[in-house]
Amino acid sequence: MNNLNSGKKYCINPEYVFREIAGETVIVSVSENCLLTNTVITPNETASFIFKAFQTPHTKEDVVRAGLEEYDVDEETIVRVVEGFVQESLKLKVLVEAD
Amino acid sequence: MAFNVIEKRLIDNATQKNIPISGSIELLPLCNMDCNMCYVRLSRSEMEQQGRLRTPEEWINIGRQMLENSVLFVQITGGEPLLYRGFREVYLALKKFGIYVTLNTNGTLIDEVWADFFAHYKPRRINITLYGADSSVYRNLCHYEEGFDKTIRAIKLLRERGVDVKINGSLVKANRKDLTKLLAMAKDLDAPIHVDTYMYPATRERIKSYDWQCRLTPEEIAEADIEILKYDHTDEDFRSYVRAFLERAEHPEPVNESAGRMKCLAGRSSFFINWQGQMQPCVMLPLFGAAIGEGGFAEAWRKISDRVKNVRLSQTCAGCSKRDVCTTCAACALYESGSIDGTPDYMCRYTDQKIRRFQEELKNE
Repeated sequence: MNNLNSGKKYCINPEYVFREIAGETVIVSVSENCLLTNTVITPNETASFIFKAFQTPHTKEDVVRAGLEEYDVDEETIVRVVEGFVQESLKLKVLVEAD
Repeated sequence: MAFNVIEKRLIDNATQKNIPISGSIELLPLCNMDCNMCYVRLSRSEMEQQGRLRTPEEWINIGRQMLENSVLFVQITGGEPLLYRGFREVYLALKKFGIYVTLNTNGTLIDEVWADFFAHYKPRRINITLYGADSSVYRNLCHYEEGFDKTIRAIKLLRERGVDVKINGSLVKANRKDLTKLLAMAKDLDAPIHVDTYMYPATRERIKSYDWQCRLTPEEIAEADIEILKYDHTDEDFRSYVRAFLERAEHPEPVNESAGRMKCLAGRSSFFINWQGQMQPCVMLPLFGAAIGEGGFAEAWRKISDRVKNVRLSQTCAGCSKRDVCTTCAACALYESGSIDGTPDYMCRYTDQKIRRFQEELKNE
């Protein structure tokens, strides 16, 4: 897990809320500052798992560890998925660095 | 397009699970216009004789309960909702809860200040009804001549600020001649348009009786539908649509156990709350209503959805060979025939005419 830039914590931008609707996760922006306003975002199961893991500040390593406990896949795959997710979410400002 | 697919999936899931994912709240029955075919508008004195408006705090409390009950999409409507004093407070609270908010308005009150507000606090969409292509229709139909210029100004102000606007049309005798112009105007204004050609002969709480002369005949609305379809579609797409429609008309799905039940979303995944805080399956069905009282939103939802489950529509309609292309519903049956299980003759004539005209259109190929 060395390539995960160890130690930095991230969390979901508080300007987004998670809602569970009819068995699906929906992410809704609640601020006019969000890049994705009025967009219905329904992450798939894997993305929902990662989003939920970052609802409180966690490092990427924490989330990879949690993923390894939850899913029957190899570490390399989980690292790749979490890394990709974090980079994309930081760009969209859905995820922010925690203080 | 992708968003529509996602929304449809969410709504389908909610409907299967009987979750109230979407609804409308009617802030007030007052309006600065007085359209001949309106079934909502009350004067202030008529309103005060019937009840009182809910306060912003009451609506926000209902909004909080909506959140707890998985409501995701809310449409704010009226009357004219921008006349409601606490509009901004209610609107912003719903957005803050994580609810997607759409607004229905006649647009006439939207000036630069409102447009800036909506540009900053963007709704999911603003639906603006455009009643005609010039001031004369607004004078004769809406009794508000300046309404036309004000509505056009509103659409332009909002579009300039990047606010999504959809134009709605309500086609009646007084504006029938404007249909083509309305469709073209929407294109010029960079806004999608939806024109309702069928008008429910409803009066709801209105004291004034319904003006039966106001609406078009079933044959006239079938013709208007064809005009709209031809405007919206290429020749090839229009013919494909017509072929698919006729295929469904000629080969309906076999009658199953859901025959005669309500098939729309009303009371299954959507609701309407009127200005007095009564929940109904849809705007047109007060008779299945339940007050949001001590049991709150959840209890009112349970009551109206139970009532909807027990509704049985006309057996004639349930067994009709044209059932798959007919757009009748519980409200249509009620207002056209006088009872939920009645057969709405107006709708039969409309469907028959549509089939006949579509067949003619294909013959002309």
